[in-house]
Amino acid sequence: MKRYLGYLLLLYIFIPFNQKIDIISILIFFVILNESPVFSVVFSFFAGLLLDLYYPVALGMNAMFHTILAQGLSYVKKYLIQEPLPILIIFTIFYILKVLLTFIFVISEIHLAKILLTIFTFLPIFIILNKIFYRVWSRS
Amino acid sequence: MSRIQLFIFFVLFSTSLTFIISGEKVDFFISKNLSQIFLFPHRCISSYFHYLQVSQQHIEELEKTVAELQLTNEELKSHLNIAEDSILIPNLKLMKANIIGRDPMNFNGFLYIDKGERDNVYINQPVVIGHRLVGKVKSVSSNMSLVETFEKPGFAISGMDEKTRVYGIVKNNGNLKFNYVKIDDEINIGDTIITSGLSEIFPKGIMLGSVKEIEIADDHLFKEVIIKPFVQINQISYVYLIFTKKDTLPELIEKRPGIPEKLKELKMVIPALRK
Repeated sequence: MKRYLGYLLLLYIFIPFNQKIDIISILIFFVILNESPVFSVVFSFFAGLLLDLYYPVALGMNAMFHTILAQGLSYVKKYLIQEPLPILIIFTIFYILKVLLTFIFVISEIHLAKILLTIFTFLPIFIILNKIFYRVWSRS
Repeated sequence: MSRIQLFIFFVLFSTSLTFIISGEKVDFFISKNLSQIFLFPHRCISSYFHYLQVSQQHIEELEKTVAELQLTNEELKSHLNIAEDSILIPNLKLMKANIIGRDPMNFNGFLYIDKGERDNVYINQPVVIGHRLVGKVKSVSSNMSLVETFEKPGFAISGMDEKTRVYGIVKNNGNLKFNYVKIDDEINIGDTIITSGLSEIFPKGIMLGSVKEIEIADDHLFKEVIIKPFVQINQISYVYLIFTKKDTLPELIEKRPGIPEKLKELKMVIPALRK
């Protein structure tokens, strides 16, 4: 329960900074990998909805993409090893899929700098999140 | 994969799909209401930060106003001092004069003021600020005058300790010193030295400075008293001239003991002689 509240708190803290780095996607990815599939899907939907409300472009679009991606990642989660490199590769695929879906359906611009910055900062943020929620730097 | 998970996924998926396919008006309505609920914490925090920002600006403006008011207050206080002085030193007429120049060779020793003969300024007229001594008028031209301040080396004036009534001569020999104070005379650090009124130039009671240091002179007869002046000559922009020459000659004669009676006698005798 404490962890769930922590995720919500971080979600609200991260929202204003999401325009520079897609830190919400990193948080969602972290939640999907570490929490139950039901909570992951609900949390992803809620995070997407918050993004839709905070940066209004098309209501429900982010919520839907995040729900689909969370559901999809929940399927393959059990085959993943929590090591830095595989996680980075999976996140990159997850994130690029999200960007592509947004680009195709919302026809928004692709901000290359934001994508690169998100991928570069993924591992440090992921490690810090591990430390915050599980008191370890890496859960392998 | 459990059925619950699939059920939740389809519910959430359909909800988001409903949001997407709903019309603009419905979208606006939903966004507005959902924002009020879900972005409430964020709105509270951002409004708090906005409040802090506005408050900061307000504080800066108030600080500026306070600084301005403090300056005005200081100015008014200095004027109030002058008003009080004129009560403390009765029967003295004061005239304000602005400092328009300083002697480049002796920056604090001489001041040029914007009042001259036209304003009835005269040589040796006492110059003060508040009830503190500045100096005396050295020379006068038609519309400006030169003031010799106590910071000019060699400036001397008769003074006394306000508390112990010890008399002496205040002289500037680089430092402002209260000379001719006997070794037995009582004088303490922090005492105020005022004009004694023995000089014809300065009226009694104008403050010169406070006693800063007391040492025994080499001759062991007198004390060497160093005074810290009350006025910083390099910080003033205006002064006040004291008019002590208010009495006319006949009035002065009449005030001298014995003379009025003799005058009356003469006034009676002269017409008789003329006849």
